Amino acid sequence: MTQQDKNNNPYASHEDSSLLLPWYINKTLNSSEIELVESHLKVCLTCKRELATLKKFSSAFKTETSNQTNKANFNKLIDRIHGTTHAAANDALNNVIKEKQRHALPTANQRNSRAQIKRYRLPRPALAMAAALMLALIIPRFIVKDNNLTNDFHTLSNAEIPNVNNNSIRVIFLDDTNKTHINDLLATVHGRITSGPSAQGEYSVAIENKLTPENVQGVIAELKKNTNILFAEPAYALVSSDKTIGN
Amino acid sequence: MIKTENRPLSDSGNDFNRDIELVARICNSDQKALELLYSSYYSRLSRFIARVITREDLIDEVINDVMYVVWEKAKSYNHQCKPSTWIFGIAYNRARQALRDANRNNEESLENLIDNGVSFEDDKSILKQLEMSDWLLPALGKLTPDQRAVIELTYFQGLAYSEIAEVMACPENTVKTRMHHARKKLATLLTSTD
Repeated sequence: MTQQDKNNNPYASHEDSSLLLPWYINKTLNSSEIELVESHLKVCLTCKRELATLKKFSSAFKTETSNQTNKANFNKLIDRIHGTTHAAANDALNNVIKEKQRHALPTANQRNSRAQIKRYRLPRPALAMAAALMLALIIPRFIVKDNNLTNDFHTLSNAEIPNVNNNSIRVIFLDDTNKTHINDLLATVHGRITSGPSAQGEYSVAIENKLTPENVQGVIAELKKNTNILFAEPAYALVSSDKTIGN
Repeated sequence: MIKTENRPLSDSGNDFNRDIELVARICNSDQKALELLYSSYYSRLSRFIARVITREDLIDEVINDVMYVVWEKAKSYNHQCKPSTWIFGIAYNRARQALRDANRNNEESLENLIDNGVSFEDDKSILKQLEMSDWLLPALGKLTPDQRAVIELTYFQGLAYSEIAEVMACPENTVKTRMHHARKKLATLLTSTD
């Protein structure tokens, strides 16, 4: 139903009119709202009674209150304002003092020191170039990987295993193990001696088949079952150390 | 004590122009203008804040909070509404904040405070002055702060529902609904006391 319909039919505007009654009493409705309420009041006994009650309530509600302001309370407000004003003024003053101190005239000693520094000071473009050059030299040292160092240790966070020597292992046998027995043992894993024994009795052994790191571990485990073998490890574990020693 | 005017908020043109001028002077840190504005609003703000928070001990504190905000934020008044609507909007927010703080301190919920009508029975001075009759004060105590605010702004301060919506930062229909529920509650209470 449109507003026009409601205006034309005062019986239909009960809800709207009833809601507006308090503001009909305080005389703040616009002309069309007043017209709506008044035309409805002519036909609605409920709203007429409600209006009478609200008028009574409104007049009871308008009881006069004290006309006097609490001066002490106002003074508190002024103190508060001045408090913040003083604080703001102090901050501003402190800033000015700091600024002046920063630009204050230097003492005689300070002037001498500054003069000496100025004498040895490079022009700004030269300083900038020198700084850029230093950065260019320093930064690559942090970025470029040092393979010699990283290959020395294999940790869980650096678990990359090189594949180049997957089929090379190092083995140390008991002292009383003869050459034939050694060859027989290595034959069980298709290995052949490539060098050794070293001063520490270490043999370098090449496994004939190309192996994955997991296969190498299997071969080593197989060899370690034999009581004549004291030590067996993949050769790659010590590659960089060897290179370093060799260098 | 400063003599003040005690009139409803529905400003005449003179009041409106005077308030505009005072706010403009406050923008220039004119303390005398603040005092005049304070005097002209003190009693109206007292009544309104008393209606919302019903705590005698907090009324002056909240009034000072309101006028402090007026002093600090006068430059932000954008003339979109009357100065009185702007000031009562600040008062409404500060009163509600005071009510929340008081409730937090008492470790009571807002609903408990309202339902128990806390401090209505213990009121002195301003709240006593607002005691229009024996039946009205306890009845108002049963309303929510928002409903009391709508009643105060309508019947005493004389605001239009559109202005109340601005003060309370809510839709106009919410104002009408709050008034409707308040009227229903009051009618029930008044019938039961007859």
